Amino acid sequence: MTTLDKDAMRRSLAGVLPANQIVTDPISLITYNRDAGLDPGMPDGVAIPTSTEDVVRLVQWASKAQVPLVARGAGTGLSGGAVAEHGGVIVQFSRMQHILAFDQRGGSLMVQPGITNQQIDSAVKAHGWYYPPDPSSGRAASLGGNIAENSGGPHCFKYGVTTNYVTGLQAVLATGKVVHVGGRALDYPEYDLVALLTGSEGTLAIITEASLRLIRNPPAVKTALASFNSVEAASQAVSRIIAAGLVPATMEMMDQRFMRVIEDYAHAGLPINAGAALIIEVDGYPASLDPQMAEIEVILRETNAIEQRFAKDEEERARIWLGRKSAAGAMARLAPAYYLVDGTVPRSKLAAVLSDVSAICDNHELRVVYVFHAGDGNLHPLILIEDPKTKNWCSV
Amino acid sequence: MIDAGRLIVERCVAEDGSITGEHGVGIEKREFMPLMYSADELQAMQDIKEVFDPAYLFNPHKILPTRMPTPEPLPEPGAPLTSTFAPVHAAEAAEAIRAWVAAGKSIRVAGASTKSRVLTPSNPQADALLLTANLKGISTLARDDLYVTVGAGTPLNDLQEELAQHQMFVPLVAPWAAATVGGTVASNFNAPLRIRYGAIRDNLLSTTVALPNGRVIRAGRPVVKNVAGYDLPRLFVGSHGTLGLLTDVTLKLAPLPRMRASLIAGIDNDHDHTASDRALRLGLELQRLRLVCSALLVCKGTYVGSEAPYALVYAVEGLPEDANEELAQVQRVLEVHGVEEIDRLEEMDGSGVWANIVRNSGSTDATTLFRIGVPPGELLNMHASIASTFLELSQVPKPFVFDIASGLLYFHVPTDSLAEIERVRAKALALGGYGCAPLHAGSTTFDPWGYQSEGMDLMLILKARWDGTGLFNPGAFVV
Repeated sequence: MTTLDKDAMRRSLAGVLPANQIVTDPISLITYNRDAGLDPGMPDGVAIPTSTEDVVRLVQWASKAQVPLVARGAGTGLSGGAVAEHGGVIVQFSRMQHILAFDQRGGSLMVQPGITNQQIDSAVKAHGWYYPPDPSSGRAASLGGNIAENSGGPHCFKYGVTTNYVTGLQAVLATGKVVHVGGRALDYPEYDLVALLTGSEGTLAIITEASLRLIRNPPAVKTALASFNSVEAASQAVSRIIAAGLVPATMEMMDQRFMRVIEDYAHAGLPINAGAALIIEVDGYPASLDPQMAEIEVILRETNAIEQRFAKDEEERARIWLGRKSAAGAMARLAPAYYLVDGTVPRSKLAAVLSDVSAICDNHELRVVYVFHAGDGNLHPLILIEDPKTKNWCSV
Repeated sequence: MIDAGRLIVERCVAEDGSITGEHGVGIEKREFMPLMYSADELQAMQDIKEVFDPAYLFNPHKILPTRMPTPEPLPEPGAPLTSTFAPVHAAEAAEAIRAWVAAGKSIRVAGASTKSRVLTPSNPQADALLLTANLKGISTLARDDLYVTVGAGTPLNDLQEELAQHQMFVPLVAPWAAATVGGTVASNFNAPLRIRYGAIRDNLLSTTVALPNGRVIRAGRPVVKNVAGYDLPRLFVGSHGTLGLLTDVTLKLAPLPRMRASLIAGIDNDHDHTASDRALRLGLELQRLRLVCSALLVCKGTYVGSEAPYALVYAVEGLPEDANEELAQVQRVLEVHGVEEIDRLEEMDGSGVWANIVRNSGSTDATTLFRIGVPPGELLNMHASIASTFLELSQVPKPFVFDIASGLLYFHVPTDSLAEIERVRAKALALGGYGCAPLHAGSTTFDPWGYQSEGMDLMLILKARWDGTGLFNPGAFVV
């Protein structure tokens, strides 16, 4: 794209922002060669803006020099969205992570894109509010990355994904113009450009501020773990719970292979002899939790659950979740890398599709384990990469 | 390994799913996009990319496949149809659009015309009328998967009646009995229950659209994580039919709540505040209690049997234990603040109260419905401005309703007072919101939308990209 050679481009970039906001030495750039996915791409430089004005300067420079810009948060994405595949400059948002406004009365938050899910969670929960999207990488993942990928998480069956909570954005366009679309009010008379930018993977504009709507933090939560002979049986329980008109906050499923891998690593007490297990969590007022769980218990019994375990306190709840959230660490013990296929089907098709996925992996002599958001039909087969040096896994 | 990945996502697509849920397309799945999307659908996404970033400066080579499939050439347009046409499917609608556009005829789209002053204003330049009247009925009712696909011309009330037989509903409410599903989506007319179930944009999973360029796309899929690539379904929500004709829509289903109930409180002046100010302050205080709240309203003049000038309505729906606990908390807060007149009404639907006010005092030649949106925390400031204007506009006795949880206010303005209302609109803009008259056809002296989006340039370029002649639903929206 650019006609400048790399050295000239880097010299030119050095004039755009102060030296401590530019990275061009080759060793440091290696850090940015990948995100958490498999596809590599070495950037020619990294710029670390501290303000929207910095981003405008970068865009104006890049437009003139014809250098691609790749926005990046924490680099926890899994599809190569924040990788500079064909070079160019990564715009890294680790120094733009402030809360700009918190309307505690109206329940809205205005933030910079580098803030992490965990920082948002801590800030709003202390005041009784809740920001539901909770990707597994939430301790490190940035909101900007969440918006770019329209992130979800275990609670999106009930609460939805990122786009359901973004009401407004400030973004820098390719012309260098700064625009606000949407805002802290609702239903502006304009095309829903907020929705177009959300999930656009940084390909349309660079987001520099976001307005989020918050909901009340549920006063109470109750968690159960149920085990079944098969994924099909567990899927049947999910369908029955939904048909009963119940809306659990989350329904996460793990298959036997996943549980055995995790148990070796995390010692979370998972039912490793079962074919599948469901984590079911209900929330609401304390008075509603036992009746909800009582109904679910009946359904689980009728769908032939082998075992049901109900967390009696926060410690037991944390233990149930420990297994689910230990996936990355546990997988690393089995293989140096894994390929996480993220597909979605109508939830009633989950069991049939998973059966076919197993057959596909067997035919390709691949080891695979399953963990998935059963409530919203999002399957996540984790295919182990036994030897990255010999497999051609990184090119599509 | 990538072969296996491809087969897995192919299997998802075969079940009407998506090639990605929450990890994006990026590099990994860009070559899989043609598995899910047609050449026309990918072209629509490329159009979006080039509207925003024609030089491909931002994150190039992501999302779209490296080799874009070429859309099939469109057939030669036929002879223009009669001036009114009601297609029975999307392809027929597209054929009509191509014929009319080729003949240079402007096209107006319409559902039930319940919002006819905006969707079908008497525009002498609209040569043809494209109706959704024959796009009716449920084509798929997937109870296990919680979605329904329905023709855009289906009356929303008919759909709800059908779904109620299955103990389900779609969380949409239209004030007008004949309103169609497509018209409700296209106009983005959100009822207060959006605070419980999400807005229309959050409930639309998928839609089939005949674009102004005569092509047909299916945007989204019937799954919770419904898009890979750009979110086209939401683009059509609130576009007022200016970007294409919705021919079917797929909406999320929700189980009918086991319980609905409301508290309605009469609010009068106290020592420190006027009745309206007090009602609003109480409403804002209750904001933080919302867990199963389906409406939080302040209304004027709707509380039958009460002397109080304002009513505060707090509606809940869901499980009885949650609903009862929340109403008990609301009651305690109201009592602490000295509110004595509190009634509990079973089965009362808060959005129904809102719909009644919007409908019964609906736009006539003498008045027009005005909607203000501000950040909910700014409602008191907004109210102060309105109150001072209302004193001067003595002809505004009509009921009005604050949808507090959404930061929206609906009221009716005498058509001959529209000039004065500009002051209120200016205040809304200053507070980060807007004021519009969504049912008003507009005139040389009054702009019904009154809002200059900072994204207007992008909107105009996008509109021109798909409707180069500007013949599709002209004058129906800001673009």
